[in-house]
This record gives sequence, structure tokens and C-alpha cells, in this order.
Amino acid sequence: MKAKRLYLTFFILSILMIGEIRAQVLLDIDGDVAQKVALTMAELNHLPMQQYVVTGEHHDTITYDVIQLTHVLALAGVPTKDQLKGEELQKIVVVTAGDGYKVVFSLPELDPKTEGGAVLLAIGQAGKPLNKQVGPLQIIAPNDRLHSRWVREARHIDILYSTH
Amino acid sequence: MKRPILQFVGTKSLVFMLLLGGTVAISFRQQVDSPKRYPFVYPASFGNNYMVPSSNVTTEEGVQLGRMLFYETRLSANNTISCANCHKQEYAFADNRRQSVGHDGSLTTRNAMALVNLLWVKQFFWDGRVKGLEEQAVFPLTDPHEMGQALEESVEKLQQTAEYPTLFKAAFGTDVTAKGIVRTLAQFERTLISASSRYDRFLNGEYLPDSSEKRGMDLFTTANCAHCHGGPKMYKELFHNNGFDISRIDPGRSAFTGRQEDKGRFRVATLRNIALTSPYMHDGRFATLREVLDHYSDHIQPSETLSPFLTDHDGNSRLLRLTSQEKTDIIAFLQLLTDSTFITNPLFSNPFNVN
Repeated sequence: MKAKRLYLTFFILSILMIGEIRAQVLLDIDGDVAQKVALTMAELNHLPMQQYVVTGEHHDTITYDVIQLTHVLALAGVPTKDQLKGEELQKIVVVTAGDGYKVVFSLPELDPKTEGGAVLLAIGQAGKPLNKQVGPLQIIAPNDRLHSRWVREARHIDILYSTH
Repeated sequence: MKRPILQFVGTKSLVFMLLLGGTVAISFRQQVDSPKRYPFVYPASFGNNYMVPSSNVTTEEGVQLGRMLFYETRLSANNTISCANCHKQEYAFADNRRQSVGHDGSLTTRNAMALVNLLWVKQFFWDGRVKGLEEQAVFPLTDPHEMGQALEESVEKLQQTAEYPTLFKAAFGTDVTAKGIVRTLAQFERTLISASSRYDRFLNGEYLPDSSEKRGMDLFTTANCAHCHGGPKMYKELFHNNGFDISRIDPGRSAFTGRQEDKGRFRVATLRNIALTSPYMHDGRFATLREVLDHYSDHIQPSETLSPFLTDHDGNSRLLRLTSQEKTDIIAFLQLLTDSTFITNPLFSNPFNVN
């Protein structure tokens, strides 16, 4: 009886712990990848970080803490940079936000030759978490004139082959 | 002397020709009997961003059967209600009650959604918890407080009727099955396309809006309504917290995603036929479009998960502060989206009504 109760407690605690761990997952990478990954902020923080400065709509200066999206995708085994050739060039990257907003990039365009054109993932703002209106993760696509693909609250990335 | 035909063509050749003829006849018969693909008709501007599952191709026979089952009370525990009890054609397949009444007299927790242009919807219910119409149909059919009947029991009831076994055979080539029931309902629901409103005629250059409708149309864009509701379908698959008192509302999308950021997030509803689908919001709290606009104008509640599009730079609610005339104008525009052919289309109506 005692063992049964202990087992039940352990079972409930495990579920609660799994729930806690899942709650920390901020970004899933799925689809045609070598391994599907669910990334936490701690894992993202291990990637090479840089700063990206923009002028906000109220003419204020915003300094984003960013990582290159290609580095994030590499965690799922997505070929980038020099490995990106052949059929891999037909892949598309679908980014979905928490509110369901969806945009597409082509895999090759994430890492253009043009200086400063690489697509980025913002994970903070001047050392602090991004504000809740755009965070915790936001895509930054420097070459997007209207910022239409600056996906707020980016949550899922699917890598797919363009079939047409 | 007449030569027997066998001598002329040879026995083997004759057998071959008979076999070939038989095969052609069988395949011709199969072609005649196999379900006919249903052609979806919609404006090019709606786009083709939809996917019908390959396991449930839409066919004329499937749609016809689905229409019957949509109005079939035998799918409920006490044979009293059908899908159409909560999704009434005259209200663009919404319910005119805040909460719908189940077979046992209990009330649903949320307002019944309008069934309009579902072909382009990928995530169903107010919280988007289900992907695909087939899976969606299972919930109201089997929920103990909605139609309250296990699919197996529905199969048994329908199998005992004179008409349904034949109709299932024609649609799926099988007896009545649980899969067939939800598939055929999904097929019918995919055909509920609404694209013949005055707004559509305006888009085609066949209707000139009056001054109030025109002002409303402009305001719809400048007041940023279009950000979540825009496009030719007047629908985008988005989920937002639109500013109700978050401590008192149901958890919305967070109940199934488990994410705090989704608290109070619900589907952004289509505005097609919106003038017909009162009451409004996930809980049917607003009886009129005027009350809806009053909310966006003056009463959005700030919260941790309030939509960023309803939040200002300082984190406060971004209130539209509309004048009375502006509200009147926006409502005039929204009324352009009413499609009277949709709510009177005999192909969508109750097939058991004899008049």
C-alpha cells in the first residue's frame, strides 16, 4: 500500500516536472531535419551572440541581442553555409508565431553573402529579455523593408521541401 | 463452306478478347459507380491555401451524405438534436444563443462558431486545439453534454436504417463506419463557401458602396481592424487575447498549449456574415456589433497577454476611441459582408424538410 502511494507520488511529481521542463521550451524545430529539437533559452544562450541595433518607430534606439538563425537551425542538423547545396537549396523555412502568424524564408536566403543581410533570432534586448509584445524570441530579417517577416513571439520552425 | 470463327481467330485469341472485354466492362462499371469528385468553386482571390486530406477526398456522394448527417438527429443520444441545432443556416451556421443547448439540456461553455469558409481553416474550435475537420467533428458528436453519443452507437443506428447503408456504399464503398460519419460531415462542411456578398460584388466592380459603407471600409483599414481580420476572405488564422478581464475569462488557448502566454487567447473570427452571427466573442458576451465596437473603442483591458496589436508603446490598451458615427460606418461596412445566397442556398439546407 505504502509502495503504491509512493509510486503515485513519484508519478505525479514526474508529470509536474515534465510540465515544468516543457514550459521552458521556447522554440521547436521540426520537419525535414536530421533531429527535431525543442530549445530552451539556456540552449540558445550557448550560441554565438552579437548585437543588432535598429531605430524604433518612435525614433528610439533598440539594441537587440541576436544569434544567427543558421546557427539555431544547425542544432537540428539543417545544412547551412558550405553544406548548403544540391537538393538542400530547395528547402523552405516556415516560421510560426505564438498567435499563428506564419512566414516563409528560403533556406539559402538565411545566410546571404551580403554583409548584414543574414536572418537573425533576437533573444534579448541590451542584456534583458525581450518585452512581451515581441518576445521572448523574435525573428529579425534585416532586408525586409516592411518588417513583415520580423516574426514576434517566434515559436515553431518547420523545414520543408518546396514541392512545386 | 462457312468457317467457324474459332478457326479464324484461334481459341487463345478468343479467350484473350473475352478476358479483355470483361476487364474493360468491369473498369467501366467501376468508373460509373465510383464517387464523383466535388468541384470547389470560389473566387481566385481566396487563394488555394488549403489542404483536403488525401484520405478524405471531397465527392458529390460524400457531400450529399454529409449534408444529411449534418441534419440527422439520430446522431444524438436521445435522437433530438443534430449539428444543425447549434449551427443554423439562417445565422450563417452559428447559434443565436450565447451558449448552445446539448441533448441533455446542459449549456456549452463557449459560443458556437459560424461555419463559413472552413475549407481554409486549419485549426478548429475557439482555441484551435484540433487540426482538421474530421477530428473536429468527433467532439460535438461524442461530448456527453453536446450530442452525447459514441460513434459506435451512431454507426449501429444508421446501419439499421433503410437509406444510410446504401448512401455510405455510394460515398465510401463500405457499410456505415465511424470514420465514414466524420469524413462525410467534414466533406459537407468544406463546401460551406460564402463568397457572394455585396462586398464581393464591390471587389468585382459590380457594386458601389454608399458613403457610410465607404467610410466604414476606410476605417476598417485605418483603425487597424484589417490587421487581424483583413484580406478577401476577411479571415486570417490568428489567435489573440482581445482584452477581456483576463482573471475572469476561460484560459483559452493556454488550456491545451500549457503556455502562460496563451492565456485568454482565442481564434480571430471570420467577419464573413458577421452581421448574422450574433452573439459575439467566445462566450457570446456581446449581443450586437455596436457592443463589439464599444469594446474595441473604449473597454479593452490591459493584461500580460493582451494582443500586441491592441497594446500601445507604454504597455497600455490601445483603444480605438471611435465616434458614434464611425461605429455606425464600420457596422455599415460589416453588413456588406452578409451573403444572403449562403443562408438560403438549398444545397446547404435541411434535406429532411419537405416544404
